[in-house]
Amino acid sequence: MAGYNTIRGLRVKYLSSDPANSEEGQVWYNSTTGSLRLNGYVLSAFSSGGNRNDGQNGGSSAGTLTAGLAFGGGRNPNLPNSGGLATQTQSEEYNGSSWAEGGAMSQGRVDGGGTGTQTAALAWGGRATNNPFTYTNLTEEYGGSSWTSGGNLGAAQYGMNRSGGGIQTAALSVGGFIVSPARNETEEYNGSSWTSVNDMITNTARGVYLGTQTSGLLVNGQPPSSVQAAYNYDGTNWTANPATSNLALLTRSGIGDNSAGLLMGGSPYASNTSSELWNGTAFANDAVAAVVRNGSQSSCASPVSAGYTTSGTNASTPNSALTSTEEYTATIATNLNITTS
Amino acid sequence: MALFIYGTATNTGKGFFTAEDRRNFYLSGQPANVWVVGNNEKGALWLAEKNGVEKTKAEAQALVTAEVTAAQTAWDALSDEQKDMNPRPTDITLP
Repeated sequence: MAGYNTIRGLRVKYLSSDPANSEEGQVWYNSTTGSLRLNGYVLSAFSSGGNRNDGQNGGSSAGTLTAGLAFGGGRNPNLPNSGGLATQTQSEEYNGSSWAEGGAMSQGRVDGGGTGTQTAALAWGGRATNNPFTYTNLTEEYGGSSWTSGGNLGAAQYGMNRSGGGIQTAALSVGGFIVSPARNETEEYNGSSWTSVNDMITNTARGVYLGTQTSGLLVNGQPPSSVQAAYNYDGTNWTANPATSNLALLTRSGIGDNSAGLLMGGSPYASNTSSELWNGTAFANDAVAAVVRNGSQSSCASPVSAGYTTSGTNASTPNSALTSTEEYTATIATNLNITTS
Repeated sequence: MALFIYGTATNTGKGFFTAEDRRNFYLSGQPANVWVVGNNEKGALWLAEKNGVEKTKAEAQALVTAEVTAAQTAWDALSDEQKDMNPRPTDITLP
């Protein structure tokens, strides 16, 4: 059998104690404890979180694991695409274990934009009604208990970034639909009005944006089929990122920013429970969720090591918006024993 | 030995399954409150502790299929414009 040094070109150091400044991924043998040791193993998993009061398919979100906010979306019997109207106006707040009703928006919306924090969130655009299809350019700002009107988006549209894109006073909206095909429009919000800025370099909708108004990564989405491509935004211009996600998906949810992010769920794969971790350079498959989710909401702010995904639907049963939540946690295990057999 | 056991259980929220559970056994939530659980000691104990009702694979599949069929029937009744917005719900085959 080949030894470690043959496989990796390195020898495992034989040390009497754990090194003080071990590097991520470093392996050594501790002769005092008689154990093979490893630093930097990421231990990640999904666990069940608090159940929602009501499901919201295609809703938007803001905040963190312990101070989250979910708003908008649709649900049975008035789901989007069911022929009904009544997209949802309600919001729910998460404290890390349970959901409580928040303030209601004045405009119900599905597939609208969303970002910010639990006490300073922003909702913009979205599909307002389904039969007939109508769209809104209305923006609303959440102050922790109620929503107030903000400046109108440049066009009535839907399918922009739903969970992430800065803060209430410095937000970014990218892509979306008025009618098919997807758009390349980018707009920036300053707390009172939207301004059209440089277009995305390709049409995009229903992607995930990780970052702020001045620095971010857009990944996945559709023009019109789902894509793996990623794009950088530097506050002025969009450029293609050489990295691609492992799966071509749309309507995923995301956590984090362009240096550390997580993509969760999505469609069109009916059985998709995947997540992908972004380290600023590349995507890697990560923990698998227990429940299939498409069009879910999520905590959107860093840290990526603690977040959640909630609601959405299973693409095989889209008439039922899910009410469950799954929490994602990742820890870097240091000085971990490696068991061999 | 079969790879999975099947059952129905109601997700009660926080603590229903933990990160440790996920590391100890396979777990997949399906429509109709059906759960597919890795067939080991810890998986079986989890289903019992959650007041789960164990099902055969065929029984579990039938519950899931009934939900999917209802969704497909609803989709078939939509207008063409509405159908264009989302694909027809696909069948689910339990592992």
